[in-house]
Amino acid sequence: MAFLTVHDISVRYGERVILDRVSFSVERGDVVAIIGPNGSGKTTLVRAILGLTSVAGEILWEQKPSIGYVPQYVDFDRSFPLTVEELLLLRLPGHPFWRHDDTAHEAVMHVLHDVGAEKLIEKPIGVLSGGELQRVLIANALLPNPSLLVLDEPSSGIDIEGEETIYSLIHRLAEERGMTVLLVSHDLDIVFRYASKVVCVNRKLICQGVPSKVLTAQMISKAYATPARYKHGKETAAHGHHHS
Amino acid sequence: MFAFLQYDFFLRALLAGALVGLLAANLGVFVILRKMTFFSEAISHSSLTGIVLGLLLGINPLLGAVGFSILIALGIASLAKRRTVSLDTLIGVFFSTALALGVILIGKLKGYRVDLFGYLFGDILGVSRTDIYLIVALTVVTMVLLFLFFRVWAKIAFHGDLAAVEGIRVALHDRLFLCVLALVIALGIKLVGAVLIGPLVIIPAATAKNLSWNLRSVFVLSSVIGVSAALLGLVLSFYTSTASGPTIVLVSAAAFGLSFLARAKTVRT
Repeated sequence: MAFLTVHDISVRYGERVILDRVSFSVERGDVVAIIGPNGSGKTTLVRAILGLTSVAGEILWEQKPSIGYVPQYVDFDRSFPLTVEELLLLRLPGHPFWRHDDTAHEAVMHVLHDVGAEKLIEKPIGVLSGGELQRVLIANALLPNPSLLVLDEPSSGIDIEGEETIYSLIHRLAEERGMTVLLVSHDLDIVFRYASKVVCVNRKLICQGVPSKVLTAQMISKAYATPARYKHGKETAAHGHHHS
Repeated sequence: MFAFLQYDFFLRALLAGALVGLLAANLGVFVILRKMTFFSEAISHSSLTGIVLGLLLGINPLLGAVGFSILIALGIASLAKRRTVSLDTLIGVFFSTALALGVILIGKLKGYRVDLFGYLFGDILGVSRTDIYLIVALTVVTMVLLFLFFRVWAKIAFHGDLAAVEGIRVALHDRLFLCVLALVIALGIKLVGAVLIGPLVIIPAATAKNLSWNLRSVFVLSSVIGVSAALLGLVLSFYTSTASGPTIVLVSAAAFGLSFLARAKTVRT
């Protein structure tokens, strides 16, 4: 049995079909990129796998995974009074939160070191740059030693900085820790470089497989065809010839 | 100088003020962080209807307030889940309906109810020995719940989905939190009244948030501000013969004003 089997899942909000009978599987150790245009149901697919959205169909696990989740960094309230250390301490239930504790501090430093963000330990999350916040959120996701790391658009709106980009960081962590990775992306270049498997969705499953094999020019244009319900402005102009 | 200390009723009021101020300030931090200000206002205004229902049915008005506020809070929470109407609209409809019902029920009360004004704006003379026992017991219960679920509630406030992926039952904790909030709001009614208990929850936490960037100090500051404002407000109301509720709220509002200026200054520099 595969690490994760998504079997025939559909999601509807009222009359609107967001995902229509999508099936694919993920093997242990895969780095899977879920791609598709805006509004294609990528995030909904991830939310369904995380159990955050109710779905029709089946989501089957080889064994119950421990999941580290990195939501889109834009979802965060920057005025929330919380330091990086406090955020990570909240996830260490065995350690005190209200007073200083050496082992807790060490555990926090250790995971921050893993993502190259030790310097940020004292900082309030509100002052972090997009890239810094993303690193901290990855550290937060790593704390329970997950067997599956799920990231929603890890690079959106982030300037490439330092020697190690977010993607090479994810790639390194996945190898070091033997994690399976599921990430939503719309950057095809990144998908070719880092993903061992790609799943293209545009309401329905368009393709799945090894990026170099399945991501043909024809398949990409099919995956990125604008769904009829998003017929407006710029997208219609750019993809007009794909409308059915 | 400390003439007020010789009155038993005033000592009871100070004790009630310190405890309710502490509870409200701590829950207030979660209310502020989750942007539930309007929600807590709605619960406090609904509690008035609960008080009148209690008086009409001949049960303890505070119990009426707790029961009715919890009912309203859970009602809003379960309707909000369906997402067919936005939360602020739901709250607006629920709370004005509850208030309208309360005002109509007041008309049904027989005779002139002098205690009603106290329930609206606070009456320190009205804090009885039984009230103190009730407040102490519920303070202990609430502090234990806060201690047990502090991390869980903080994680939900920070990002509900992240908490859910961790295995936290977010909907269940949301309801538990609303019940505790309704309880604390009902406790505060004797002190500042149904109309002004909302600010007692919100202002100390909002003040603390202006002054700090880390969670630990927000909770500590909010507690200090909540307790001090309640005590100072009570003492001021004693000397100026003003109603206790509005005086406490004005003291906390002054603290908020100062914190706002302090924040504006730090943002600029």
